[in-house]
Amino acid sequence: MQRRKAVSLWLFFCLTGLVSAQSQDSSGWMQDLAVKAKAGFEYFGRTISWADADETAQLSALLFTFRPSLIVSNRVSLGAVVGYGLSDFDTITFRELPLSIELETGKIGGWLIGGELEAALWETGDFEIGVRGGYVFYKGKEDRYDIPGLAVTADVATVPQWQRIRAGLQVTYIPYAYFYPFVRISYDHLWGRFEVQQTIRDLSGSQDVDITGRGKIHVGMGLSYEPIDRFTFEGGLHVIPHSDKVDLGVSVGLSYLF
Amino acid sequence: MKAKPWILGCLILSTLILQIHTQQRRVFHHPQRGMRHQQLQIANFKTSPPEQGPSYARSHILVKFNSMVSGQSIHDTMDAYDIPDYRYIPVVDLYRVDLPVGTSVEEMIQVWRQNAWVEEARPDFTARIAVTPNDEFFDRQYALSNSGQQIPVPGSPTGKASADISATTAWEESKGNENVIIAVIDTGVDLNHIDLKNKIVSPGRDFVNDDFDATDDNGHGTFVAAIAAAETDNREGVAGVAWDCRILPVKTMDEEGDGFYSDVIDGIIWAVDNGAHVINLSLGGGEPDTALEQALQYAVEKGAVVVAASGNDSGAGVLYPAKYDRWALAVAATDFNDLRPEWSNFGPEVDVAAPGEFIISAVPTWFFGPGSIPYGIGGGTSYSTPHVAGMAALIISHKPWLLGIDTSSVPWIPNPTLASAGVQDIMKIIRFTSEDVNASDHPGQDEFIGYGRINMATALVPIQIK
Repeated sequence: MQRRKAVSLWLFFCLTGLVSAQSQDSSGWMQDLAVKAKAGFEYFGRTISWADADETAQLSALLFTFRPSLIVSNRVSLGAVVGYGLSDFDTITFRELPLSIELETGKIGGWLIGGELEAALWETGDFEIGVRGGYVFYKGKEDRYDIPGLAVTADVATVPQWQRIRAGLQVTYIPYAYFYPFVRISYDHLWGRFEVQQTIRDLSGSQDVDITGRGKIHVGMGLSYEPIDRFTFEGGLHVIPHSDKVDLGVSVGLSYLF
Repeated sequence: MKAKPWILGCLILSTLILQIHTQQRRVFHHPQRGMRHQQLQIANFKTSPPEQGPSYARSHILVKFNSMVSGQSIHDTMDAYDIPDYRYIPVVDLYRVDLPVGTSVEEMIQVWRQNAWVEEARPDFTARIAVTPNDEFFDRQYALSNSGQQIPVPGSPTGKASADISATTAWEESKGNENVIIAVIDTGVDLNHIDLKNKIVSPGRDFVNDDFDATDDNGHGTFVAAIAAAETDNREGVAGVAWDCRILPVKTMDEEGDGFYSDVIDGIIWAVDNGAHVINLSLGGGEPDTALEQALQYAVEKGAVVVAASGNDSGAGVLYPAKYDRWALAVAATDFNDLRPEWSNFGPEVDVAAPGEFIISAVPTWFFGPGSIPYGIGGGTSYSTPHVAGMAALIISHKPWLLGIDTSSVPWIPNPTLASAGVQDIMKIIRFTSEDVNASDHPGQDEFIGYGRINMATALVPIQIK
């Protein structure tokens, strides 16, 4: 249900953005196109829970992304996300295997894919108000770990994955020539699955753990800096508060407008 | 200074045992052994010297009819042979047939085998227990937690730290569940013992006296039951391995510690049909028996883990039923230094080992006489076995899904389609999590202690992996 709400919200913002772009330039917005390429990295920490929210761990992820996008009428940007990520799921306990294990995952490399949409809706004085939405899917590579301390050889194979969807508003302060500070508030939902396959000689078992990110409200602030024509540097911080603590994240990126 | 009651009790017991074994000296393999070995010997489940062949009942035999023969025909045949009484053992489809007056086992077996309706006729072999109990308390239960403490026996040897089954660590993860039942098929259980009375499911079944009161008249069964699941953390006596699990007493051995295969078979089947998840068989015999094996198979297919003693004959050859490798875990013994006592039987069927030397546990309240404390010290694979039985009960309590048990309903009943595979998985968990404590001499699985001395913590507590 959470995922359906998240996806619905994201689609709503996509539609809003597209409608907004068309309304801004009804005479031929499809002819006013540009391409932008952005490279960046993001680091975030996220408290995750599983097993009916009784247990928690700290997911740390470092994402290296490349984001090509299509800009329409200089107001709507629709893009893809591809990249490579390193995710550390901290320690997850699996008790529905023949032998229970407490797994310290370490950093697991994997591929990223996704999409994003930005749209400027209207300007009011010194502020521009827009919408932003994005989706990222991460799939980690399969890893094998030996199980120590047994009378026979044994191992576990793991395949992790997570998905994140964001949708919300951005308010940008626009009076400055090259600096554009902004704040964002978004709905942010992270969910995923950790699959484990255990093999102990001729005894085997598997368990899939569904993980969910704590907190759903993302509050960010940052700055866009355009030092020279076509180049834009962007950096930002964000927080996701929840009942246990506040999760933090940071992102930086450099884009070029073709 | 007044002698402590337990010292006096030991002296009395030692005297009694010496008398018993003296009387039976003619029936043991090695009558020249010292008293201690006699006390620890499980007596090979034989009551006659080796030159006289296996021991069996003299009052009845076992007969199996062809499956096409009707019940009425069987009844008519019994009448024709002047059979005074007979009893049917279900599942294995066997009849226990009393002998007519004036006939011998050998004669009647010959007669029955000539009957075209009879598939098989054979003696009812005997099984036996023989161990020596003593008294102590949890800080002296090195089997559960060995800190290198002194063992309270003559000589006061000290143990090797960590030469134990890691019970205290395991209990942090699971103390068991009251819905998991361990059947102790033995001489019965003292139903009113202070450390057992709150852990017993029911008065059980007595196949020796054919009633529903499995009260212990020997002491062995009480000792075994307390090791497996004595009431724990009650400021009394000893701690049971399966802290919260419960005991179902089944009496198949008499006050001398003797019993017949047919009663053991009946006992296994009855225990399974009455909800047992673990079957403890601290007994054994030297002869194979297809019906006995069938009973074990029945237990496994119903989702019960069978644990049996390998024997105390100081020699090669695991006793039955432990020798039925496919259906039972055969348990050898280790001591307070993680060494195998020389009396612990060995063979390729040995699966695991557990402490069985100088074990402290409960005895019936009458055992040492009025005013005595009802605890003692004993040794034997009989007492290694309930350590493993308790461990199996904890695994089932902690991971009932292995047997497909729906824990939302009581009693806990294994799922028929998952039961057999689940039992095999639990047996593998017990084997594979054992510690290879004799690796320096016999690395890997060996015939002396199998995969090793059991380790409950490895089996239950999440293993850390980085």
